[in-house]
This record gives sequence, structure tokens and C-alpha cells, in this order.
Amino acid sequence: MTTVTLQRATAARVFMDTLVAFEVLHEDADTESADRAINEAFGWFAEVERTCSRFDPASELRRLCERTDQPVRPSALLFAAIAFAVELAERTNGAFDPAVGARMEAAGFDTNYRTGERQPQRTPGGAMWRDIEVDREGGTVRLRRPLTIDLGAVAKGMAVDLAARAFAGFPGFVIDAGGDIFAGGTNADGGPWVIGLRDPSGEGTLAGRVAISDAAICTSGDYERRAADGHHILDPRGSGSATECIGVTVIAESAMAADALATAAFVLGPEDGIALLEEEGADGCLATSDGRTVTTRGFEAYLR
Amino acid sequence: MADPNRTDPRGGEQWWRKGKPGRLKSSMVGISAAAVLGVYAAGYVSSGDGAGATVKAASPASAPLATATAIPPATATAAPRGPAGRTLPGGEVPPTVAPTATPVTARTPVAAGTYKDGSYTGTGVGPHGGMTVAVAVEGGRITSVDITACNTRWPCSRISELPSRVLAAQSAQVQYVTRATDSSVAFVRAVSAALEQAR
Repeated sequence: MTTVTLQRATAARVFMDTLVAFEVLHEDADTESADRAINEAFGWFAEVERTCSRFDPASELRRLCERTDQPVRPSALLFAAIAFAVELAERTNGAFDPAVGARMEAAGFDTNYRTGERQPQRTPGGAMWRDIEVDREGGTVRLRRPLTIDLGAVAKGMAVDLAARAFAGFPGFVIDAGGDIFAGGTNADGGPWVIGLRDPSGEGTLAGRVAISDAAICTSGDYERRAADGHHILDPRGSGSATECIGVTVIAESAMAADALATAAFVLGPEDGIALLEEEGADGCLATSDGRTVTTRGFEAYLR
Repeated sequence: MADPNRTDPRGGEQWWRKGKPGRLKSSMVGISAAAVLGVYAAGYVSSGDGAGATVKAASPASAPLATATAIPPATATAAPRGPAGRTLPGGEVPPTVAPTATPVTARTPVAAGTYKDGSYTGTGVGPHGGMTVAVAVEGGRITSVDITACNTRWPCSRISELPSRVLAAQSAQVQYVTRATDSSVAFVRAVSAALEQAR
């Protein structure tokens, strides 16, 4: 017989309008360091939220958006998020566009969940990612015109990735932040973590399960956060919500990449979306509004 | 749906231990992974949480709002938030936390399985090379763990305490050796592979 050796520590708090839950496996002797890691991980969520919030007038992002036509050097965190978002915008030719913030507000995604305060539209629409000039050597950002940057598809994933670094030394852990999940190490049986995929068209039914270890899985779907006349994924190239897909699930070693690529693939549609995932080092599956499911070549290997 | 018993094209049932092959550093996934490492290394100023024991030293590069042309400090503060310096007194729960979300950590013991008696070998591959271990189980307990081959980038002496941790924990799931994470990963995977045969 063996003795009871592992502890499973769980904790959950709300950040970014989402319940953020941690599960950490650790030995008895490591209780203190597990608690420290949990605190540090929540701290990263708090840091990312207060830096990147589009809803908080005092956030560093909002203050940056008030500066037009001059180079600004943001914190390392904000610069990394913006540089990543603009790079993906460039590679998708604007199917992913962090300058979509003004239209998100116009479409009704304008309420601070903590205060309930609405943020009236402050910048004119029509801005695009090309209006955000990123100087990678200098670490500066310059806005060519007034615009509202939205880091919704980037910031939560980055917080998940940073929290995952905080848990890196433990035998196994899972970070669940709404649609963004990172599973590290192994479960208590020494096997991969098995994550259920919600059926994008169903009522809480499962479309399947995937086994992952040291990887993130993120889903973009049109079944959450609807505004009056559309869901929260706008097609930056058109005037309304993207309509070809109903759900995209992406697996990658980084949650920031998985979340942003899922959003981009959702807008691009089945053919270009899957091609993007394969090109950019991720796997995934995509459900279309006409009932088809398409996957990357590597996706089936994860299915359980 | 895929057959759960099929052999995976990536090579065997433990494909998930080997990681995803062949993503490029220049891919968005590679860029993202590197960016996160950089931000993590820079640390953050406030722990934003709890006793403040987890505060990481913030390097000058991470100081927020060091501007080429300075961003003015926030004047309007609609949402409740910490002081502008963002350093909260130790032990204080920061005001940015929703009141319903008190950080309570719940703990439940995880029962380890019983192992079948025998001698088992397992191989594990980490980010920088792999290793092979021999694990002996007697009377349902792990009685010895030996590293029989070590092809990691760094010498196996750096993880010399891990076999005894396995014996103490009676599990492959032991905490990694600090600053020897890659070797620890390979070791834990090797022991897990060996013990899976003992289930």
C-alpha cells in the first residue's frame, strides 16, 4: 500500500469579468510554496487587468490611448501585449485587429463589470491596426490617430501564461479562466489532463475531450457575451460580427497565442482559419455555421 | 471521435509527454512564448494579493509608464483601485478584488494508487534530452529508483535528490529541483512511464 502524498489545492477569484480558478497538485511539504504560487498567479491576473483594461479609465492602456502622434514607452507587459496583437494583425491582414476597440464600444461592449459604469464611445470608428506604430527596438508605441485599443483577445491569455510560469515547479496544475485553460505537468495519476470541449451549438453538451500537458486550450465562440445585435467577435474588415464560424478551439503551448489565434481563425473562416493555425504553430478545430467541423492535421492526436 | 486505444502517430501512448513537435520560433506561438518569458522575468511591482511575500523585484525595464513622452498619471479614478504606487501594505487585500471573491484555498488529499510488485524501466524526454530510470516495487511500495541512463544537457548530479523524493512521496509527482527544471522534467516523465506499468 502507498501513502497519501499529494495535496490538491484549489482557489478561485474574479478577474476580467471571468472566474479564474487554479488547481495545483503539491506535496505536503510544499504547502507554503503552493500558497505563495497561488498568490503570485492571482497577482499576475490583477496586474494584467489593471494594465490592459479597456473599461478602466485609469488603466495604462487607456492612458496610452489618450496620446496620439507621439512615441510612448509603455511597461514591458503592455508593450508585449500590443506588439503581439499588432504582429498578428499584420500576419492576418487585419482579420485580427486590436484597433477594433471603438467599434466594440459602439456595438455595446462598453460596460465596466466591476463598477457597472458604461464607457461612452470616446474615439471615432474607422481606425485600424496600421494606425498603431510599434517600434520593437525602441520599445515604443505611437498612435497615428485617436483610436481605442482592445486587448481582450490577448490580455487574458497572457495572464494565464504568466500564472502558468508561477506554477512551473509543481507536478501538475490547471488554470481555468473562462474559455482559456492551461494544463501543466500531469494529473494525480501521472497522465495528461483531460479537458472537455463544449459543443458550440448545444446546451452544455460536450463535443469531445482532449488530453493535454504543458499546453493551453482556448475557445472562441459566439455563445457568450452577446450584445444587442451580434456576438463579441467583430469582423474588423466588415461592419458587423463574423458569421462563418460558430466556434473555434485552439491548442498551443501559450494561452496568449491560442486565444488570439482562435479569435483570428473565427473571423477568417474555415479554410484560412485552419491554415493560419497550422502556419503559426497551433492545433485546433473549427465549427462552421453550416454544420461542418474542420481541424488541423495535428488535432486528432489530442482527442480522447 | 478518435479511438482512445489507437496508437498515436507521434509515437505511442505517451505522445503528450513529448510535446508538440516543430513549431517555429518565428510563429505566433513561438513569439508569444518568448514574450511571456520576458514579461515574467521583469516581474511586477505589487503582488496585488495576500501577504506580499510573492513580490518579485521589478527590474528598471518593467517600471510602468517610463515614457518617451510621459503618459500623465491618471486623474479620474472611477473604479476602486490600489494607490498609484501600486505597492499595497503587506497583508492587505487589494481593493481591486471583487468582495465575493475572497481568496480561499481549499485542499484535499489525493490518494496515490497501489503499485504492482516488480521491476520497471521508463524513459522520459525533457526539453534538453532524456533519461532512463529503473524503479523497483516491493509490497506495493516503491523501494528503489535508479537513473540508469542520462542524456540530458546538464549532468544528472543536479537532480540527485529526486530519487529519494520519489521514495518519500511514493509517486512520480515530486517537486522539481530549482534551476534544474529540464532535467527534472525528464526524470519525472521517466519515473511516470515506469510506474504506469506498475498500475
